[in-house]
Amino acid sequence: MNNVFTIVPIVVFLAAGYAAPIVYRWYRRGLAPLVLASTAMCVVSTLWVVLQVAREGPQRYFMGGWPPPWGIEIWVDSRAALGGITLTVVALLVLVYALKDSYTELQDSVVGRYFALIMILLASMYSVIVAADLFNLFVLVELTSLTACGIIAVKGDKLATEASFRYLILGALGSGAILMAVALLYMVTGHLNMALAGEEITTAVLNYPRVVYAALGFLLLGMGIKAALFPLHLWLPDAHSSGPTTASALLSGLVVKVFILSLWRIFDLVFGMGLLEAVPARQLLLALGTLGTLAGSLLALGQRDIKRLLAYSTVANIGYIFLGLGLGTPRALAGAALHIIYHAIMKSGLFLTAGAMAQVAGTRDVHNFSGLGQRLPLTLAAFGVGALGMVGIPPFSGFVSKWYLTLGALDAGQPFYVLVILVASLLSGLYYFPILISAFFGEWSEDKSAQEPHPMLLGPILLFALATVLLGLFPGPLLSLLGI
Amino acid sequence: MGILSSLGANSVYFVAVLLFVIGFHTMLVNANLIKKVMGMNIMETAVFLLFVASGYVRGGKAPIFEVGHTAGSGEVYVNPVPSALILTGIVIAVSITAFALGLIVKLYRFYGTLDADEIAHLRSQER
Amino acid sequence: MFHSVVSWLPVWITLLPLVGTGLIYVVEQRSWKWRNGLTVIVSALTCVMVAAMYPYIARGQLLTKAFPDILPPLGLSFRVDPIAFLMAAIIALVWLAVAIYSLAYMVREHHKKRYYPFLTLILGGSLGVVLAGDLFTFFVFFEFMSLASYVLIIQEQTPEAMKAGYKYLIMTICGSLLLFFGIISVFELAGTLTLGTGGIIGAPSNLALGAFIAFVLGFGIKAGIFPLHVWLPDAHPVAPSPASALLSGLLLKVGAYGFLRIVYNVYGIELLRRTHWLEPVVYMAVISILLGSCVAILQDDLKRRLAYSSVGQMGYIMLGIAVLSERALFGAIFHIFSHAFMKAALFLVAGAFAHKTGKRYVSQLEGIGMRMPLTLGAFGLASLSMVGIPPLAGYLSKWQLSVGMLDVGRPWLVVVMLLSSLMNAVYLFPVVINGFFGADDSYPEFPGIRWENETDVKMLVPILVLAGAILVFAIYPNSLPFSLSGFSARYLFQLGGW
Repeated sequence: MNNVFTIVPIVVFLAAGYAAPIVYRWYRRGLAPLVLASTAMCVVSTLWVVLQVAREGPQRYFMGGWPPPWGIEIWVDSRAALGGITLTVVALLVLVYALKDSYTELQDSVVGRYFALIMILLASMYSVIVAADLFNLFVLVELTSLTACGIIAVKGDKLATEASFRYLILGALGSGAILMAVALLYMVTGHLNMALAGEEITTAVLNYPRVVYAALGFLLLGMGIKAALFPLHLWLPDAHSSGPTTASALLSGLVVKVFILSLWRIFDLVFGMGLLEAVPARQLLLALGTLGTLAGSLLALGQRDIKRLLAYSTVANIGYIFLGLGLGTPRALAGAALHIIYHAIMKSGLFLTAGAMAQVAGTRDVHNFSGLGQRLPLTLAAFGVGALGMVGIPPFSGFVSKWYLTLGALDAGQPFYVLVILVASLLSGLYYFPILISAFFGEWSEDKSAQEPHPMLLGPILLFALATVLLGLFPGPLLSLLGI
Repeated sequence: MGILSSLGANSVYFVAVLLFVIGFHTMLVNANLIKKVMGMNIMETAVFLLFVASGYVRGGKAPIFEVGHTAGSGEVYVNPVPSALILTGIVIAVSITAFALGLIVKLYRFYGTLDADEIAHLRSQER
Repeated sequence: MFHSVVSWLPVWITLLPLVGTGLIYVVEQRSWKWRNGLTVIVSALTCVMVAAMYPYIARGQLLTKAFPDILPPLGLSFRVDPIAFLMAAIIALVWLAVAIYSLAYMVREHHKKRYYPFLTLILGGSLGVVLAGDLFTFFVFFEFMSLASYVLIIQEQTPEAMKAGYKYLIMTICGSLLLFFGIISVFELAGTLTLGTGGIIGAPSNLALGAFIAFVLGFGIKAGIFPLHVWLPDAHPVAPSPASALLSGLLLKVGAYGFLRIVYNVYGIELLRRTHWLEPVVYMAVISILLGSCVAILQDDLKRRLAYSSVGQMGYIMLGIAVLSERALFGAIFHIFSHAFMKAALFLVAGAFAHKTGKRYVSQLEGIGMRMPLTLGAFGLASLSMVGIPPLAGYLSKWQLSVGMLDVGRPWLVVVMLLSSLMNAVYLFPVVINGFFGADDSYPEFPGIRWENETDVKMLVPILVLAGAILVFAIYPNSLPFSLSGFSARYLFQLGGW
């Protein structure tokens, strides 16, 4: 019953996080082996958990051996397992990149601490995905927010500090709302364990309907802020574009997703889908998802800074995922789950690639990438793969999730949302393709030396592109794990 | 009369909601960065209050047992779980406050002001 | 055992050019000679493999192969029936001719390192489209082909080319998204996307109509039908001539082919007869025919004139598909063949003129026949065929089309076609007449065929082969493309009963 592998990533990431600055201080060359070995260990153990989940169903772990309702439960279902493996694999690639890139983007003195923050962020994100206890979840959400702000602020310039502060304040608002929701749920159900609270919720909703719905509202508000659900996304473009490249990749690829996964888990376990039908929660998610998708795409269209463009595209893609959640049909939910994974991979890869491109071009302005594709064919090819995936061109990853989302919309009898998704695809084509066109077919104006980035940067970039292609061509294992 | 009595019985909750709204409002509307952080603290305190109050049982004792003690039938205890949780919550609130204040110090060094609007203004001028 | 090898043929046919692309890219880093050779070899091998399918098609067998594990849950699948085989054969043959022509034509162009890999890549993509066994596979390759064609359009990277290319790209993405909508709607309604039966949608519904409109628009953009043709006259002339020949001669047809599949395999004849959804398409096609031919007359740029002419000719094909008559469909399918060869030949000749003399405009081409009689002769032959003079291929397709229109009791469509033939003559014959009889100061009298005056032999041979095919395949009335077209039309009309 107690599957110890489910908590290996938490323990290992945390330990590595505390060890990183010490190792960096005393034996600088030990940092890379430490970071990579610990992350690789987490990849292996999550992979093992994925296999076990596929074979035996959900895995649990009771912290300290105390079963609920006293102890804290870790519960890994198939969605959490997929989220976990995505997280560790993306983290591994991003960390390889960071081990080279951080020395150029950051001052040498903070590199050790930067890695400490990243490792703790990874530990907390993984725990958010697998947490099955409401208060435990709140603590981990706070830890995630705090470290996420930290990896932005570590850059230390005006923009990063300001973005980090704004993110922190809005994040604290969200945390307050989440804690409020937890308190209200505890008051009416008497449990903090999600499954046990879910058992009590049907009687609770009869006795205190307003309290339960208030809890739902607070939860949506809090998680909406954290997951950048439109119009609560205002912190995102600055926060995701001003930190170091690797921080942006982690924030855009993973951090927003874990909050969606955890919101989804609370919907499933605590509220249950029947309860959500009683209030217009679905309709709200659909409306906000639609607005987020369209607004994010339109705003991205106006950006010249590549990282801001990618950040706004994240707002749009979060909209896709919430659309899937709001539609609620099995295929739409599958599409949402797939898009969480695919977007994590594609967007992390795109941010890393954009970082490498910006480094070579000396600017983040997309107009200055003209002709870059002739100098850095591999890097730009990787960017192209990611961009095509985001637009949803077969056979790249984004196509599969788009397929399921749109089919789910038709299943729900709402072709309007198909239109929304297609318009967003078109818009994403409109902002990605000009970059590619000018990069591949434009003229390289200056006679600067331009060559492919260092293998430690190029490797992760290419691996992300490869993953985008392979997961698009062969999504079979993912689909069978998700039960479709 | 019914309203008043229910107000009295639930006074803690109303105070909590009031504090929450005050904190929320301060955080969002007040331009002063320090006051934003204060608003954040007020808001969190409100939730702590609500949480702890939910575990309070009127006339209950602190659930502290001595060795060999067995609970009698007439004894009523306060629910200890919320208090224990809120201890953790307070720790988190303190660390967030510390981090926020650290950032404010940096921002003040950059811009020489604590006013969020002024900072936005200065930033737009720089561009 | 042997049949299992044969059923892999469509896969290899698609895969070979795709793998070849990589090979060509690797090889061209070393030597351009090997690159050129490899390009032709890949095209030729593809041709041979397509031909190898013929005995099975002639016997009435279907070649099918499915890969459910790639892109699940639908998977990729291939399926070759007569019409798919005919399309693949046309594509492979014309492509081979164009590839050989390119070797000489592209010598003076830049960015050759990009041209050849993409030429081969798009060959694989378009063969994948026509050999696809279900709409999903169709869509995957269609997107692939459409996006890769962008690179051919902007090959010369002039500002006009970039602008035309961007227009093409945006319209293509719109078209793809519309097709995507159509395909998922069909999947939602029918639960399958296989192209094996005569109609998988049972009853008309709002969603079915929405999907049908999306298909008409999506394929209309690709096929360049009024009013969705706006990208075509910009995009086709700016590409290098061999690429224009492919774009106009083949890739437009792929759009028409997709529409044909939608009409006969997805919606089915009964449903469309009952609902009259095809009526707007008939009118769109009529306007395309008249407008395309009309505007072509006004163009001085020869390639632009030919591009507008393609709008008109695509109208014939769409008309033949949309009137739901077996003989009209016969004509439409045969016109796919004849127009592919005619238009490819015309564009290649236009390219030969530009390559040899640098002249692009019709007004500059007076007396060109004195210098290049063979090249202009091929142009003349293709022009006659376009106008529909017997005994050329264009005549046969128009005859079948007209008979089909009469079958469904719509004689006014025949009048439209006659009118358009007249206009075809108006915009094509002056080129030939002025070319042969116009004044050329350096050659007051016809000097006979002089090889040094003619275009390069690597360019001339493909031109002559394409033009010759128009004549040869029309003189023997039961020639392969003709009988296959009839076969395909009959097959589509009575699915399963052949």
